[in-house]
Amino acid sequence: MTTIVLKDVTKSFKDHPIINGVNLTIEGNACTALVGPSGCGKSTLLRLICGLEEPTTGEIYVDGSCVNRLPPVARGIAMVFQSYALYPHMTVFDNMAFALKIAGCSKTDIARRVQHAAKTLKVDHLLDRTPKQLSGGQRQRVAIGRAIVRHPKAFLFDEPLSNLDAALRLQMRYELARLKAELNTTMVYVTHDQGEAMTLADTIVIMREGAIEQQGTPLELYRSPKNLFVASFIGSPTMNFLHAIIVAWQDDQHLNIRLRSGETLVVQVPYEALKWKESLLEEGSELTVGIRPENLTEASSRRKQAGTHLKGRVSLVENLGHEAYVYVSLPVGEHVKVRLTGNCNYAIGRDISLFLRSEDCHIFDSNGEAMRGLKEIPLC
Amino acid sequence: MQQHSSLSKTAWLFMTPCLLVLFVVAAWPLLRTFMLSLTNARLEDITHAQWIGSANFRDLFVDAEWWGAVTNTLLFAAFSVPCEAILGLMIALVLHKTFKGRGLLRAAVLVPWAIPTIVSARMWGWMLHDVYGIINELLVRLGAIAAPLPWTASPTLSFVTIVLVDVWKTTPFMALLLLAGLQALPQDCFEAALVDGVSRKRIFFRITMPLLRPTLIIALIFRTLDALRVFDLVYILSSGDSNTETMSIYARRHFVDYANVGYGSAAAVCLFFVVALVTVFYINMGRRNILGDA
Ligand SMILES: Nc1ncnc2c1ncn2[C@@H]1O[C@H](COP(=O)(O)OP(=O)(O)OP(=O)(O)O)[C@@H](O)[C@H]1O
Ligand SMILES: [Mg+2]
Repeated sequence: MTTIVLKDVTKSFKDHPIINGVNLTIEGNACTALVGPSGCGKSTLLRLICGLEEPTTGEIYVDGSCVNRLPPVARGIAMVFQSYALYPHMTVFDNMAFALKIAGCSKTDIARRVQHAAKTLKVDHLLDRTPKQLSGGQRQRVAIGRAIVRHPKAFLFDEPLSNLDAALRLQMRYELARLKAELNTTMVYVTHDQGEAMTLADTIVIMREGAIEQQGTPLELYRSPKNLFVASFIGSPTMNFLHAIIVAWQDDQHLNIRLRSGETLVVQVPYEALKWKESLLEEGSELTVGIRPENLTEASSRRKQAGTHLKGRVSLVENLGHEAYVYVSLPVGEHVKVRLTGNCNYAIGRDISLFLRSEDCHIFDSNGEAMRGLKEIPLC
Repeated sequence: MQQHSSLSKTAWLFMTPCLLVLFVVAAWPLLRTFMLSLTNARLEDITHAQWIGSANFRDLFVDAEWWGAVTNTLLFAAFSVPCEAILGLMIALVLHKTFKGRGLLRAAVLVPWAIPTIVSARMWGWMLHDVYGIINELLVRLGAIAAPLPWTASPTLSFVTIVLVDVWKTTPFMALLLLAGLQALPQDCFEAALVDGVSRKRIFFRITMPLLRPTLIIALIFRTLDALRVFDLVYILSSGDSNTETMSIYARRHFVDYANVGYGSAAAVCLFFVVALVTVFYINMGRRNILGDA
């Protein structure tokens, strides 16, 4: 049960600010995923936490005590490096056993723990090899093994699965999820793969340019992204964005908006909560409507549905068998992706009519800030 | 097949100048020395030499002075090379850290290596002069020694002096080689070790040293071969003293001073074989580390 707290942490490398005031609480016994575009400072944040870098300002607390001045050793945190960082001159076994030997564990204990970790990570047949004789994916797993044999207070994973093939990645994702349940420790997990973040993490932290954009459970981020950046980051394929303008306030709960294609729709926006942004909400102001590919459906020709229809033409089909991502170009020059299931034979160039429900739309004001979250799906 | 042979023909064509130069500057002198070592050639009249077979070598192997020279050379290498390696490693480790003025220090460390040996040996010779030398003067004034020491005259002391001056001169070379090796090591596994809870001392012995071993062995080979051929430093610091005479000085003495080209060549050939033997030994020792990692 190790909680890590970052308070106003900043980090600059020679006057280049890399981390800009991060306030973050990493809950104990949970997995926190750190996602963000390349170069936004994810690895730097991990290095700050494990003590390889010292924050320029701010404090880092592990279990309530400030560790700013503590060397990495004293923090008891294990890290899996993005570059594996295996010891080139040691065998796989020694790589995993090194920290234990240093810590003075007994030989049988070491052998048992290493064997166990190696089995879990499916590298038990490689124990006699040196890192040079391993593939990238195998090295990555050895690096994970080196961290887990130690039973540390917390794990920091820096993109641990980035070098695996799709099948192995899914399998390792499952193994990590199991490991997480088994070890029951604090995990911080950096990834580019938002699928990994969504499935493994209890909390997702989205970073941009050294600052946290939004933090929340996977579902919170999926349902209520705070701004366009988060909205475009979570979800695969990414959310569609359509330009719109405000036509009029119907009442203080409902807004009439018009898409570029001329369709109008009524969206529920709690005006009370948004009062302070009044200037952005005048009639004629620009908005962005976000709609996820999975929330668009093909309009049925037989049944008339209440809602908004988008007419367009199929420009590309990515058929995955059980479902297809269909790229539709709208007459006004915008494009949307749609996830369709069932019979997925769509000819390119065919006309298609899409149906969207206003409840599914994310509404962003002209600054890119979300005006509402989607309703929580009631648990059943 | 046609293409292959024309390709190798072109290759030979390109290699020819290099092979020619190598033949002229390496193979021919070596061969000539071998041949001369089997004759009774004299410096005054090399052309009228007679074959005397292995007589020169028989004489050489019973000459106590020669074995003295061999011992001196081996002792010199055995003392100077490890000292240089240890000091060089220490300096390399310091220079590997980032601190203000590191660039300047790196340049400064190189100065002894940059001065020609003749110059630095003469310089040290003056400084260590038993009557006029500044070192004796300073030590006496500081009270470290009661009377001036015969740095380059007493048998054991002059050996120590030679080793010390050689260490002074070649440690920078060692340091620079090892620094290059240190900088090529993967940084991330040191960080991994820090996170793994390994102390700095252990990191040095369990990670730095094993990873640096190939570089260290190469540096040792270079330095040992150099040390076995040592000439100028000893020649200038203690010329004509049989207590510090090395193999190459012995060869030169017989070759030039006694004009006995055949005998001198035989000594040179023996020196060649000693050097070759040590090289083979090192390469065998280092094979696992150098080639195994490739
Ligand atoms: N030691 C350093 N000195 C100077 N700049 C650095 C240093 N380390 C990192 N940076 C800079 O900090 C920024 C963030 O780097 P970081 O490695 O944390 O990114 P990241 O989010 O992990 O990216 P990726 O997803 O590609 O791994 C980068 O712009 C990088 O150039
Ligand atoms: Mg990174």
